[in-house]
Amino acid sequence: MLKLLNVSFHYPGGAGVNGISLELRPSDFALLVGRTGAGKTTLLKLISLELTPDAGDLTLEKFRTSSMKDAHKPLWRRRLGIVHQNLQLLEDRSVLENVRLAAICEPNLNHAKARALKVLSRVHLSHKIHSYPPQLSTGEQQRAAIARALVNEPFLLLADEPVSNLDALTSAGIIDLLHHCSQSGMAVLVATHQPERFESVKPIVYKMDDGRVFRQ
Amino acid sequence: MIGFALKEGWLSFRNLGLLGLLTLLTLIITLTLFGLTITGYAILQEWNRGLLGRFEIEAFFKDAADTTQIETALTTIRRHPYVKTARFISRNEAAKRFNAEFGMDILDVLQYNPLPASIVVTLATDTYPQIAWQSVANALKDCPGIDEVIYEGELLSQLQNLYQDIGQKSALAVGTTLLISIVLSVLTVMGAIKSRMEFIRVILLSGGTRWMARGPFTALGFYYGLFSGLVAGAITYAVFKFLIYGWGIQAKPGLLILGGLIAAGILIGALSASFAAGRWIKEV
Repeated sequence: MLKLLNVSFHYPGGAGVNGISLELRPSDFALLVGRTGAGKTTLLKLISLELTPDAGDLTLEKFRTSSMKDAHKPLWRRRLGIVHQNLQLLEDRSVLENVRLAAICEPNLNHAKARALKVLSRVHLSHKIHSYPPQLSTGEQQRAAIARALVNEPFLLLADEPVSNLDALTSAGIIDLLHHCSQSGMAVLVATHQPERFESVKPIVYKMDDGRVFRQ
Repeated sequence: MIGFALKEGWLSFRNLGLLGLLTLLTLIITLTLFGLTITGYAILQEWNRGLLGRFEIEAFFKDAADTTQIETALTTIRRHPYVKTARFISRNEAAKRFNAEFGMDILDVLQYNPLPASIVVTLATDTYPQIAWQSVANALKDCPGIDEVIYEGELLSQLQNLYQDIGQKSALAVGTTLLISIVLSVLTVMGAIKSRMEFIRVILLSGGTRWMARGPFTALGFYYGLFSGLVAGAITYAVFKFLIYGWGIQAKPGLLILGGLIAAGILIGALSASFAAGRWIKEV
């Protein structure tokens, strides 16, 4: 379970998020919606511990940020899968290598490869494992990024604007993939400014406005 | 984890840039200088031993020295730890030597034998030259009945100073290039880190620890050190063998130098890289 309680964070310039509280359980499919600058990406960065909250508490399964040591940060992140807005695929690595790299904590390189192949099959990219990101279509790149996020079998999948640059058909495929993840027991939190594209999966919608969040 | 670090480090090492090449060259120069200094030192040591075996100390007795004094001197000096042999030459034997060397009987010329009795000493070859010569010469001077001790002290002092001078300059050269190579290694790894920030970010956000993110860059330094050590070791070994076979010098180290240079290279490369990784890989 992911639980945020009165989480606040302010950038030196003043923007940020204020007193955010929300809760996600296994199989939840939630959207964070709002205009650009509403604080969606900031909230995702707080959940992935890229930012440290000024106030409030985050709980992910057995970990709580208020009582967590720095050494536990990697353990927290191993329970998350993150799909960044700009995907952050390494262009000099094949799709398989990109995904396998995220299985960094698997001590056996062969096991890491097996896990990467399995997850690439799940996102229907088995035929592109030796391709490089620039050789893929935008939708395929998105799938590769999702595969990388899934390789550690996380509790929570965070996706920042996963369909913003995709046509309707490709976007539907990606949404279907994310929905399958939530159906398999994973909690999914998607930041988007296009909530209408997700209507088919009946998500929980959290609206962000001026750094605050409201459940709709 | 080590396999991952070595694999990723090798990928970076293969994409050697200009700075990387410069680092590699500097490391090779440093280690080669270091190796040649050690080789030179080993050869000089052998040469010293050769000198010790060849030179002699002569101690001349006073005319009035009696048999007891001569025997005491001989016994004392033969017990000295740096002495290999001590041979007594009587006045008569000295006269015979003079005759053999100059072709005239000194008694015919002077009507008496002016040549003193003496002890000729050779030194053990496994001793440090300056200390050995001075110690034995002093011991001889302290013996009863000894009038004068003669040895090539000035030449030995000059040689000793020359060794020290060469040693100091070599150490300075090795130290300077070592410093440059460490700085360049650190800069190279820093460059590799800066150019692979996305890679580091992926590792850290996938739950990798800072050590996991640092590993590939430490391995990169390891490869720089290993490669430099191998090249420097090969150069030094070749020079060493050339001197041994070409000039007929006897010296032992050989493969030990090769191993030492590889180990030194790995140590310099890995430690510099580890420092750079610790300094520039930050938590995200």
